[in-house]
Amino acid sequence: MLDHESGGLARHDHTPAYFSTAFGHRPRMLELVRGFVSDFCDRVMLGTARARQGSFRGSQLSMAAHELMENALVYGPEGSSSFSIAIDPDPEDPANRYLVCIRTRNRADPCQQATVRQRLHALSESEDPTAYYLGLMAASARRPEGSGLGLARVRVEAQMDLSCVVDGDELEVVARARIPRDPGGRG
Amino acid sequence: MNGSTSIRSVTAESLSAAGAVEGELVTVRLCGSAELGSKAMLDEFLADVLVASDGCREVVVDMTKLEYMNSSALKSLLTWIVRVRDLPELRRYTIRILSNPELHWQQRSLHSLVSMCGDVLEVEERGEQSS
Repeated sequence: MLDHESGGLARHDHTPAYFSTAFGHRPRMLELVRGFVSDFCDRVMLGTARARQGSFRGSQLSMAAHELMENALVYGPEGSSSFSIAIDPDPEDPANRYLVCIRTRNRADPCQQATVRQRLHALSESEDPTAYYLGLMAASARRPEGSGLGLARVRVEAQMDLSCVVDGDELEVVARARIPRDPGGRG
Repeated sequence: MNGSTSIRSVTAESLSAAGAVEGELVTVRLCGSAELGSKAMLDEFLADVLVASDGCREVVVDMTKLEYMNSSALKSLLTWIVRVRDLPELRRYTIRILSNPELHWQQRSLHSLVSMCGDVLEVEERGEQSS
């Protein structure tokens, strides 16, 4: 079930916009939130929802939302996961850029916490994230279990910076992107 | 080879997959959304495609109605492509993916696949194919 609170949709102005939801083990939620995030981002950043498939930028953000939520859903115990997206004027350049922040939070055992930290560390240390991603893909293709691609896909294909916070038995993964105000471009 | 032979169609969650062999050409169509719960089905389907495409010249994969593919499904697709690339040269064939430029994720993810496997993989932009 959607259990959401929204700060309202700022129509292409400087008003922050926020959405959050809690979710249990309901895979259908991923598709719903993915579609919502695309529309939400386009309405906030472009002032309108584009026809059918949304903007390129909205598509990147909805992909990131999907991948992070799926990780939380797969690895988090039922009923313990949450998702949020915030779109604010970028404090460093509020007139020209948005700062988009996607967060997922779920309970995670020490093994999962360590895995996520290790993957994010490797990503941040790589000089060329795209080459790193392609290397992961090559390794993944020959590995029977798990893709291990989700976080790198968010970093490279959605062009978002990633970090995580461990808080007791909870893990919060944060993806951020600075997005130019560009209503006539790719969004 | 005469006539057309179907590859077993499968449906799981939001994804449907179907294919056919016609002479040296294999056509595959993926529709819907490949996400949580569809990976095992997609793995099985692509394993069937690998068998059915033995001796073919080209496999065309129509993804113009594939709304989304998560990273697990992307891995399934990649695994199949790598298996094709690993075939002995005389049995190797080209994979041509028909993509939909309106589905932005395809531009990004297929670009990544081509970066890795451009020797056997081509991507051709199309609008949605009629069913």
